[in-house]
Amino acid sequence: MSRRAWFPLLLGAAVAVAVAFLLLPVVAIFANTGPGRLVDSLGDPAATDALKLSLETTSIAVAVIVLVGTPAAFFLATRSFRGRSVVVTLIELPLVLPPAAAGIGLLAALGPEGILGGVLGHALVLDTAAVVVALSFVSAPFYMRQAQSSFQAVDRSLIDASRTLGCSEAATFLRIAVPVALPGLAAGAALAWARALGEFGATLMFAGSYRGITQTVSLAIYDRFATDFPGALALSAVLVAVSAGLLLAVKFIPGSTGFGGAAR
Amino acid sequence: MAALHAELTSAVGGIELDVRFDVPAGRCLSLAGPSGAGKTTILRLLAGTVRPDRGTITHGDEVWVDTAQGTWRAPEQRRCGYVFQDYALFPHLSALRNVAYGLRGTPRSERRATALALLERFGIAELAEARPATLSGGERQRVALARALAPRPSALLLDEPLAALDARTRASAGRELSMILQPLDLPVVLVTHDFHEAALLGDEVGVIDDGKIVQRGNASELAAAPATTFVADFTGAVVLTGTVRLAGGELTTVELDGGGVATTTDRGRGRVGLSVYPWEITLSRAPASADESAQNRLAARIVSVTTLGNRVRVGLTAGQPLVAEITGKATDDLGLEVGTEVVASWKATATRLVGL
Repeated sequence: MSRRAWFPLLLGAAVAVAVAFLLLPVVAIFANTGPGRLVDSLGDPAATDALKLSLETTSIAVAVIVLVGTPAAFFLATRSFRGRSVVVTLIELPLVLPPAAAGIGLLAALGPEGILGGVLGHALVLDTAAVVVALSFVSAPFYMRQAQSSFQAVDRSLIDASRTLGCSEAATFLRIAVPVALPGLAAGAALAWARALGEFGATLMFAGSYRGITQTVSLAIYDRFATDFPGALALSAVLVAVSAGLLLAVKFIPGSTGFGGAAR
Repeated sequence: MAALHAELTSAVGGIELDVRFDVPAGRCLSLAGPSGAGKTTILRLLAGTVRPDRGTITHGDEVWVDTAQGTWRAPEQRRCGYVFQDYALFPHLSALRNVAYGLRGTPRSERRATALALLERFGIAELAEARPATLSGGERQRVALARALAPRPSALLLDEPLAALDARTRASAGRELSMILQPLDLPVVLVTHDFHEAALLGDEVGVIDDGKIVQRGNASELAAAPATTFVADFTGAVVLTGTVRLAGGELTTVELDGGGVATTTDRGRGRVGLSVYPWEITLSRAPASADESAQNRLAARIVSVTTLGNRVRVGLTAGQPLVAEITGKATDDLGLEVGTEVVASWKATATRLVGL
């Protein structure tokens, strides 16, 4: 072997270790879950309740994030004002916040004894709405960041062209900025969705883990791993499949032409 | 149709933009200058996508901007037709929908018919359903022009309309554009970094340097009597610098930096620039003689020979760099090549004195 070959070999070895390490747990989940076992577990009402609740709460959370986050991101991407970078940083803060701290923070702010407790009372206690709040809090930055950079990438002359052609800023936002940024917005929404599906810590602390009301799939997996390991595995397999699907969607969105068609 | 009048002051980047001009309907003003001179900003100020620090813009009786009165019209109320440098076609819409974009408020079928008629007029009706990404540069330019003209704009603004085209299509696209602009009964403002483009497309050319219009006139006026060395340089003239040694009688004699003297029929004193067009300069191999005082003669050495069609551009050094443009035949007859020692001569009457 020539002396020069050692570096490519090292690179190859590093990739092999990384892939093996990152993939092994995922493979293990599916290897230990036979198809039959999977179907049995999903027949369990507790499992279906958790799946239904996760689907419902993540959908609502992502819808709220997109509804509020899109215009907010457009504002931050197109305006320069004093303190803009501070606002951008504050919005990204939940990205690095430890989930336990996020849960405590939400309790201190929105719990019965929290800052807004006087207004909200016990509205969020033991309620599905609390799950939606926790999911929105941790996932919003994923969408906001992506949406902001997508709007920033929209050529300024496109916006200017629309204005000189008689469209107000609001009409330009809807007819030009959103359609042109759509691939990026969709990728951001998918990322936020994946993050919301996996949410665990903040939800557990803020909303608790009550079957059918606040117990999402992640919480259900934790709930049964001590008593029903195969059941936990089966639920995990479902979660992995859905998340991988979202990841693939993100990967393939930028090249897709389907969105341009949808925007017509 | 109404005239466009603008008096604007604005700090942009590192330069202080300070311009005033009128453009009557049916006339095209070309603003020409190097990149970074603030040309695009002037168009943005006119269109209303940027606010000036101070100034007024009026269009006929309408006041678009008056910073002293706090008057401001949004771009959608001014409705300037704007052709952007990269054309800025909406990538998610077909050519037809791009053109129809500014026709909101008219019935759908009418919108389509108007847009299609414009595409037909520009010879690209068969591309109506094509997306911008699949169009060539020339086709995009036509769609952009059709889109800007479709809503019957109050004025037309063109930002480097030919810059995005390759050299081959540029000449024909320029002629086509000038034919499209000719019959328009609205004020047209065009900006470009290319003097020849400005001269081809504009009824009048304003040369912009460092945020200001340094000279304005028709292209031949500017070329014949450049007000500054910048304008001379910009119009393609050779500019030599020197100091006036003798001013009297009909000729002014200038001692050139780097050696040699030249004369001009213009008058001036102190440090000056002398401008002469490359096609006014002839080359010969005869030694320099001072028998004809109205003729400038300068010993020079050839540093480059470039053939451009049937013309040859000869780069020279005569203390200062100099360019002569002569015929291919003359080049062959004289046996000119890099390194040849020649005498460059041109008339004193073809030599303009310009301020430095």
